[in-house]
Amino acid sequence: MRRLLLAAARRFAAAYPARWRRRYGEELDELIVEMRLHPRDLFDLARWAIRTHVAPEERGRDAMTDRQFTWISRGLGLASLVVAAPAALFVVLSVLRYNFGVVDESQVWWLEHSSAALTMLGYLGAPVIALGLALLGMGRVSYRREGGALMVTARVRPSRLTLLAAAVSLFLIAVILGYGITENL
Amino acid sequence: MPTPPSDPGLLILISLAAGPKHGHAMMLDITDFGGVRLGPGTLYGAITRLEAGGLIAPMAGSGRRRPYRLTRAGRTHLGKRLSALDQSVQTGLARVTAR
Repeated sequence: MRRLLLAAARRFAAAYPARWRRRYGEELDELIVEMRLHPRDLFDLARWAIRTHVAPEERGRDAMTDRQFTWISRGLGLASLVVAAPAALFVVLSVLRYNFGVVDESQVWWLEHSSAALTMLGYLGAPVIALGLALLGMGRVSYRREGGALMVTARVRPSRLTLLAAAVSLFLIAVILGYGITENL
Repeated sequence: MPTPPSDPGLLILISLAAGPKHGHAMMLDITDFGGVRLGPGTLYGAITRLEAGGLIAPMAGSGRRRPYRLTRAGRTHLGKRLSALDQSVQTGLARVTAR
């Protein structure tokens, strides 16, 4: 009976996430070998194996604290808005020029070249980089070393600033792409 | 607020307050003083959270056993939890005996 219980307990212990097992697997195995197992321990192991898979907080400590993540996320959100700013200026000036005739081509020399495909790609580059920065700011990637192995976890945690930066970048990409396509038709 | 017998984290902290212990020794100690037998999953679930919270820390062990010790933060946390529980117990007892 004990051998059966031990074999079953080991099966349930093997169902824990690989990362968790690398840290606690040997200790847990030693415990179930040493202790007097009851059938209810199998249920206990199964319940906690599922819980460890489902709840990230049960998996262990993250390398990045909440405070660090907040500052990194803010920095990336701000960087995204700064990178997107020239493209936003370009879009605003283009709108003013084409719809209201407010800005004269001679005043803004680079508007003359805006219809060229290469220039459009250049204008598109900034919002794409800005979008990348905003998306990076939304992802919480944590890592730590355990027993020589590098553990990496990733979660999506958008803030208001990173959402705003992503929305601005997407809007600019849509406008510049739409403008380029219309110009080339 | 959880009562001591149903809070594995608190039971582990109380056990480690007496000195470092590995998993099986904690389990036996908790059964001894708390009258509760924690399952292996429950025990290691609580150990994972306590270690992540910096309340306990692993020590170098012999073989596959890894002992844990209470950290300074863990001792402070345990003191606060026990004081809060003690206050509740004293209030409860006073109210029960007053009737």
